[in-house]
Amino acid sequence: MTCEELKEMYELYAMGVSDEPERGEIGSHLAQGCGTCTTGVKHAVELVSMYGAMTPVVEPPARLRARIVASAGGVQQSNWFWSWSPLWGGAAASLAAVALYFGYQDVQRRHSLEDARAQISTLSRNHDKDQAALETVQSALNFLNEPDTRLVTAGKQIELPPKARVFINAQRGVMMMASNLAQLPAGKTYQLWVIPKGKAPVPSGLFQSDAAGNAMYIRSGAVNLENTAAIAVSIEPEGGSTAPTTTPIIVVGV
Amino acid sequence: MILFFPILFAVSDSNDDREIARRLKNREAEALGLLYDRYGRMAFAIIQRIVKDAGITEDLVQETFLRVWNRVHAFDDQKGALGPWIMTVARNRAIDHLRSVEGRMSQNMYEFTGNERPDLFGDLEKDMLNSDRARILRAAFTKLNQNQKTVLELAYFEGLSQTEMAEQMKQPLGTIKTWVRSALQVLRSELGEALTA
Repeated sequence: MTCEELKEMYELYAMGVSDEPERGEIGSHLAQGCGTCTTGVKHAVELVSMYGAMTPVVEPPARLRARIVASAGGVQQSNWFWSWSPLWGGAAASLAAVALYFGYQDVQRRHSLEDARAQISTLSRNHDKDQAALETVQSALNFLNEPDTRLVTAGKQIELPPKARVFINAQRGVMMMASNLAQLPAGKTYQLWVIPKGKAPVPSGLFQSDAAGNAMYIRSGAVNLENTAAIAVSIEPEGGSTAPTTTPIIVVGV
Repeated sequence: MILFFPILFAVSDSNDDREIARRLKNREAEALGLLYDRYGRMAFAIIQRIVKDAGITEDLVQETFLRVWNRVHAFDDQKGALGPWIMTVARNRAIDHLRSVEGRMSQNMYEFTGNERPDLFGDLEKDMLNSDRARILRAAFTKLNQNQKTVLELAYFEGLSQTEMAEQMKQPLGTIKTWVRSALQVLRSELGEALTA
């Protein structure tokens, strides 16, 4: 087909809804570096983008930013996880454990410890009504602040297997804190799976580890605890998979 | 909380996308936070409008930004427009989800990787979402009749092809094509030289 015949379809192509044979024809023109179609599709992308930008704004939850940064291996900057109030004591204890584990190996680990202290302090300020949980956190904070607190490790030469703590809330979803994760090559990502009893794994989100091999990921939404057999993590192509294509590196029974 | 003004007025008008893209290429995770600050509400709004579920929206917004993080190496930080790219990736994630739920997964899947190629977002106006042209388009949309508005919404927010629209609206395919073609002609015409400049 000629560019003239295709030009009416550029916007539908930009939206991914053009029918065949026009879809294939435009794709072919673009692949061959056709200047007319490339320019036309770019103009269509502009029009479609501006059309989408007419959507009324909906304010996302504040926790989402920290979740996204963390999924790329960044540092938490907000208190998103306090919305998991039934789990926050356990999560804080896990955070303290994670900070202890990584806290004394190098400068990065000292930063992790400082982050843990700051987050636990924030927790203490915001949740003073939950006395029992505060006592747990305070105990962890005191432990972290003890000058003689040290962590004994086996050394960097030993490659530890991936491990994870998984918190499940029937209403809120699944939160996973993993460590010892390998740095993945370009084009690969970690994928979380919720595995129902007797059924195929359900794709439940993608995430990356940070430089130290840690990752924290939340799959929000209700979980049927009675029908869930396990939570698993596998390495998949960057866009994710509809079913695991590799053997899971982490499987946690529910 | 729904704010009753469109996305195009909610996007920051500062012009530091280039610096954010550069930092993303340097694998600075906090730059992803800056990117989210600029375009997170936009992505969230589009995805929620499509999937209509807050929890799923959060997951898909995260996948959107993670996909950008993983593919930014192919993005031209000197010429590319981050906003339209993120909007396309966000919408694709939502439409893919919708199609998988509705059993339409195989339909059009080719384009849902092809239409978000980073190179398609090169040489676009950096601040187009805040531009006069965006406002012209918004005004032009009000000139469409209801059938024209409906077919555009079915295409953009439900990911339906013209064939699928014909089935859903119980109209001849030729009628649907006429509505789509005329709607796009109105929008192109109103944008006029501004779009082709």
